[in-house]
Amino acid sequence: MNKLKYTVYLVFGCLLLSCGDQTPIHSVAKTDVFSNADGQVTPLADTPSSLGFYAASRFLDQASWGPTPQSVSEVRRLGYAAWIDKQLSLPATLTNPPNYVIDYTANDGVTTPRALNWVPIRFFEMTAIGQDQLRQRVSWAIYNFIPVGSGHAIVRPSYYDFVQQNSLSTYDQLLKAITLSPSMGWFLNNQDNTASVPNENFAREVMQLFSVGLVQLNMDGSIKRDSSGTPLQTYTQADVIDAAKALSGWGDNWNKNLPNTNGCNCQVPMIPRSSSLHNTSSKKILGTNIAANQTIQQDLDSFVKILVNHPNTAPFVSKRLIQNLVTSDPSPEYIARIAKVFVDSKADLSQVIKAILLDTEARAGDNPSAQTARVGKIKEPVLIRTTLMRGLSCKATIMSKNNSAQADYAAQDPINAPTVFGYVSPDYKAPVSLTNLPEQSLMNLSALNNRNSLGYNFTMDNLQNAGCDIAPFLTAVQSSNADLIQLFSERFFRGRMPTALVNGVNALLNNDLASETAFNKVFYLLGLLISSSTFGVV
Amino acid sequence: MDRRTFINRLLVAGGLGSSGALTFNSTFAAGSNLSGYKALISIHLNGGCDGNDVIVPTDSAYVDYSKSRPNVALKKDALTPLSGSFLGHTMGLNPALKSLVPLFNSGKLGTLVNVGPLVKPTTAQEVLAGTAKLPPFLYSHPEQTALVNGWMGDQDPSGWGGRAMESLDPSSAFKSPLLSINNNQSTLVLGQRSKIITASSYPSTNIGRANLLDPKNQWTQILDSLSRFQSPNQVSAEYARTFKGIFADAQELALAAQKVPEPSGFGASNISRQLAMVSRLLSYYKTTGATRQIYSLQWGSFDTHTNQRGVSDTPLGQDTQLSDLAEALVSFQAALDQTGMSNDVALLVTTEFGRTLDEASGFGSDHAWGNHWLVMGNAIKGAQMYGSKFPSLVLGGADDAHPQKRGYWVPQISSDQVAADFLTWLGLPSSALTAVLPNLSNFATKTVGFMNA
Repeated sequence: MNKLKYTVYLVFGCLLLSCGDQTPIHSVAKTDVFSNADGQVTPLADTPSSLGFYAASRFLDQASWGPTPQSVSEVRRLGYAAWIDKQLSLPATLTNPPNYVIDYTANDGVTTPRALNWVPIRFFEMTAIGQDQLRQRVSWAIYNFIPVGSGHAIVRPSYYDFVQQNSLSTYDQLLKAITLSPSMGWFLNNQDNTASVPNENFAREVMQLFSVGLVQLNMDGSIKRDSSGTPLQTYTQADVIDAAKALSGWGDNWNKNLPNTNGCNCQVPMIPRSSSLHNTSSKKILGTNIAANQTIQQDLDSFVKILVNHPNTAPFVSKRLIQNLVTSDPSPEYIARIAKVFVDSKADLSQVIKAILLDTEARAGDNPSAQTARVGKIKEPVLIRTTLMRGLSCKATIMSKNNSAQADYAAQDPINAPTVFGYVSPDYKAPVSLTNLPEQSLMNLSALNNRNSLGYNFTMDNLQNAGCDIAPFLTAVQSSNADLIQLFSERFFRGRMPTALVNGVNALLNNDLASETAFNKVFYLLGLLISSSTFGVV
Repeated sequence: MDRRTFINRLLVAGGLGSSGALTFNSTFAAGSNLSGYKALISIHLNGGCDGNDVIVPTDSAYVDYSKSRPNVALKKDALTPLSGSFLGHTMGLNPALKSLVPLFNSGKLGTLVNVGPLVKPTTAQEVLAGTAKLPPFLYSHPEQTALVNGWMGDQDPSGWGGRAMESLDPSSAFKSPLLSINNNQSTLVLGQRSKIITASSYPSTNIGRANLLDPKNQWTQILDSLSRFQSPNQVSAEYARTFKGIFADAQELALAAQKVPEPSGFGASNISRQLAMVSRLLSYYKTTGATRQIYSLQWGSFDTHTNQRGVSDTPLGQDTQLSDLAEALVSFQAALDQTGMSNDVALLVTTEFGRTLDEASGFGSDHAWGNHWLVMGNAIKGAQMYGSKFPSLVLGGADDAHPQKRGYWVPQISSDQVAADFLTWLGLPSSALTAVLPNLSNFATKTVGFMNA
């Protein structure tokens, strides 16, 4: 049945082409890797390694926060597998919040915004300069389905550090770490959950959203159904009640010397509160018994083991990681291959990630002249922003004219997901679309407007203060249209800027922008270019 | 999976047997000879706004209430009393809603007591005995949000508003029937084939250097060409298709904002901004040929597991937000009166579930089931509380379906019955109701009866 479904998808893709209201602009069936059909873009010579510039740049769209000239060279020199191994060995970049984020006067008009604004500034700075690019992308992928949001500054970076430190370890370690993060304890109220007064919030969400999910899955991610076709539910309210018992009794490692704004002591794990607050009765969760009178830590270990070993968790987690890094609508076969690695490696995320990136389905689009009808994802606003910054070789976060750390603030505030469901639903499918594309739900008028307003939002000072290397762009635009287009193409289009964009840039440079400054030319155009579908998808 | 198999599964999952295996396309041909203009506005309060603290009995049942949630309960003398008696009780409103009392008394506002998703009429006894047929995924935010808005528990994400429009208008002739404010994924207005328009609370005439109202602007022309970008890759193709839709919508919304100024009286809160924009769009679309419209708004963070009454903390407490809601509703109804559209527009306030009457530690409440909703407009028979009884506020009492007596109300009104009232008002024939709302076939009474004839 699945094969049939994907055949239908391919046919629909062709229909899209033939039912368009204009002659296709984008060259579809090229035979040469770098044909002259790409307009004025000069072909880039391949290195002796088999990896082309396009392929290496595309890989870095999946495995990093966006390609830079240096990272493209490194991937081409090392090859994918060795580059991944090198990345896996790097230590985690941590947020290291300064004291003014930890200790400030709450509800003060100056100190509170300064503390809160630091979070996205630091987040984007880490994406720009952190060496652990792969780890950070994986942490972000995990954050997208195991989020914490808060109006308290310290809660957010503290939580992200728990994720960063465990995003390439085992899934057991990750689940235990996020369970004991005081930020999570606060966000989903597990620090209020005691033997006598249960709070089921975290117990429910850790099963529903972070591990097994609502409905029973096969290894390939498809839904198990009963004889009448109804999806089989994974757990019942009885499981939630017993999970809350197993998770009861944890609390902040509080001491009286902590500032009010860090009463959670959010940077260190929660600790057991008095032993009477942990429910020591026996529990039965997802069909497995937990014996009575275990310690609070033993109950956590038992509970996490039940979750990670449940047959749903491998396909559930594998699919979410694939969706965030590589492709929104992976084939059942791809999910099954990765889920098998998850099981065989005892949920070792570093092995899972390596398998995801080296899978034939992930690599299928590396040849730009081959058609890949289904592979890819729409870039979320955070990834648009990081790819832009890295393409400009920035060393810190670009602040906008209005002193905001992000142009797409409304669409996606990093480490501050609007709800426990994250920024997007993994199952989102736009009306009349046949393709599951979660990030499509973040494409709206304000996001489009923000991208096109780049030239208005950033000044020369903003870019220079962020250490962005814009001199090559200013030099190129003063040299010739073709030089600027060549540079745009290398930095933002994997060396293959489409003809339609080349023509548009030429037209604007020759007309509307003719009398503008070099800076305005570059950044008004860049705003338009990052709105295009070619830049907007991985 | 072919379409027929899929739809059969959908109907089965939605509670219909094989006898109900009708395709939507064939049964929805209700005819679109509708005249005039009508619009329904739905505001979904995100997170599960606790109805236990929205409507509170002020008679002897108050004691049950305050005893059940001693730290969360509103003080009796703080409640805003409503004159008269309702469902056998004297009642008060949360004082944050005080400004709604004149609307209630004048018959433009009504309350629906103990509403929620149901497969069929259900009692607490059946739930406790394990014999009830329950809606899927009870107590879970996104699924309950989708269910009360008409989702049927499976792959089809559509809601009752989207399906009803497609039934009313099988040839898709209506202008802009389905809209949402600031939200691309609102179940209510998702149909099976229709595009929704996502408007912002803050309209703009520009996208970057492109002036949307000037078709000769070079940037506008290039955006237009980008919106026609084609690709054999479905992800790129979908990106371009979305871009095209956003671009066209942006042009029309810019025009609407240019033509219709904001009516006076709206406040600055997020929900007031949303409703101010809706009031402008209503005027624009009515005068430019729209026939029927459904607007979906979602707002608030009412998931008050802790600090329900609010302190200087996050998330916001319930009362501050209810006060914003009341102010916005009063301004909206006044704006409708001002523009002469009061008879054209009806409004519904939903939320995904109720909350445990028993408080959660930390001065909050946990997820539960039945809850109270609001309906507003000239078309509403207001000044009433709909339902056959008010739930007993005794933990473990007659209406409590929680095995440990924490106070889960089993709804007495189905969210589908509420939808049926509005859809009937919009013109959907009774013969088409169960195709749009499959579980309604399990109910002898299809509507609640809160609309004027």
